[in-house]
Amino acid sequence: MMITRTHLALLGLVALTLAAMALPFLLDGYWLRLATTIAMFAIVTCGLNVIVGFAGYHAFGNTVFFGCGAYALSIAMNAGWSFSASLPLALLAPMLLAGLLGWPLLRLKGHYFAIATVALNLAFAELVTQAGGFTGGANGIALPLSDLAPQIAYRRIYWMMVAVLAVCIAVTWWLSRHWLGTALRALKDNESGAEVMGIDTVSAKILAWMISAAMTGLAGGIWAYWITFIEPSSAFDPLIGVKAYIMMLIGGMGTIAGPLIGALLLELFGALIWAQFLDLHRLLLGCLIVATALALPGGIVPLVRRALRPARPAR
Amino acid sequence: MTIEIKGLTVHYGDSQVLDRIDLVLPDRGMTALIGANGAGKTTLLRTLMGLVRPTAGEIIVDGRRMTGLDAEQRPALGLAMVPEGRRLFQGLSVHENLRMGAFARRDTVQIARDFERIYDQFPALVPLRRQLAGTLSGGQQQMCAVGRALMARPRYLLVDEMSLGLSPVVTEDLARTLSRIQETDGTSILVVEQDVELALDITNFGYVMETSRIVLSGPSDTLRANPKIREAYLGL
Repeated sequence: MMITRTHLALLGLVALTLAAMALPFLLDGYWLRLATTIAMFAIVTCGLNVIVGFAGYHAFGNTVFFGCGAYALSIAMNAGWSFSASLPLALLAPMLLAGLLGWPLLRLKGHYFAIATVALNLAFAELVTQAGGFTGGANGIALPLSDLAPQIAYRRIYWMMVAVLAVCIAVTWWLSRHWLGTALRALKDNESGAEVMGIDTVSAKILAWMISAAMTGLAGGIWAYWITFIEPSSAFDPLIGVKAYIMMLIGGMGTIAGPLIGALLLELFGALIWAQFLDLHRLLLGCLIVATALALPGGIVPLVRRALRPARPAR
Repeated sequence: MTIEIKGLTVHYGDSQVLDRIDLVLPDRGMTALIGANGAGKTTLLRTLMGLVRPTAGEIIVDGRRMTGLDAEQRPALGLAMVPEGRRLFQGLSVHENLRMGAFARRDTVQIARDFERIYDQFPALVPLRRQLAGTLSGGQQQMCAVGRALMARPRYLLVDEMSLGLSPVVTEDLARTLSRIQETDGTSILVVEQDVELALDITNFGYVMETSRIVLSGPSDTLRANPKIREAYLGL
């Protein structure tokens, strides 16, 4: 059997995943928490990358799926379901939501779609708050505590995040070679042009948003299990989406490794630098967005790719 | 494949862009649609492709009414368009652009053969296959756009303003390629052109549009001899 680039890429992903899985044996609590956060944000950014980086639909309110996944898992666990039975709900509920709402919303273009998703996130936070009862309303929901010793439980959560992240990266990679990915990049460039090629653009966009929602929702579900207490303001926090956006821009929109690289850099940067400037950290975050947009419009991955490729001879 | 257009009327908002157009695009052969800027030629093509909804009238392809068919359902009927200004997918490579042309097809083996055919027709594209379409020159983009449309294996190819912004040499080259394809594959072709001389040169039949209406039609040679055409379009 020939060793192709596909095999090498898969091998690389598996090696990287295994290496990441070994980390908890080396890290103390603080750094393990940071590593878990990085993996979580990388998943959310992967989700964002599918709808924004590939399809070019700026889902500023993608956090709604994070909250939706978190609440789906929490409600199921409080109803007596086990964690492993509840986790699929954190994937299915957001996917269903994206499928149903994508049908009308993805017909909006440009800013209108972006604003509609922000409104969707706000509306959901409000809905969950007002619903009370099984959602806990404004009081939030506490999840049943795990029987495991905290150290073991945290390791398991980290492993789960890494495993889900690996799957998300693999899915992104698959998407980049599948007709759906090419169709999405085509409609990002020119939507009516894509239709003339015979692409059912509405279905392609809905599929993309469902994949995006599934990724984001899983991160939300595991996050809820991790912190054991969620409320509307934390689960639907728009800042989650904003951070994922910056991570995607830093890493490189529409790339495979971009979300991971962006999450790694921004979270490490955050932990090392702005933890020292607690009052200013939003200002720094804002400055970072501006600096990224100015200095690295395409993100890090395309920059590295260009640097690695030998210069083309002039034609 | 025959395309019949009956009483086709299109409005953009309040203004009428096509006014009860009747025409028949014959099976086989090349047909020209000529006329000044703003006459409605591009709108007619966009309506054929389903990108614009007519306010009245109908389009009948091989006896089948196209009313209500979305744009994405039309390639499967055998319609493909080379749009004005190329409109390539800038962020996709040349090869991916060609692949998009065959999106509606499922015959994988034949698609692979058609890639080779396109690269044979346009050898200049071979070294560029992995390059992003947005980085190509105008002529290269036009070859890619024609190649993309041909990848659909259309029975009717609609070509909009192919010569726009291209040098005469490149234009002639592309025109020859179209004639060759028409002969070898039996693909019917409609050329919409501002370069009237070129259009009448390579086609058998022509329609002339003026402010939303078809005002004249006939064999291309007859049109070329028509004093009105000579004065208005050929500057003779």
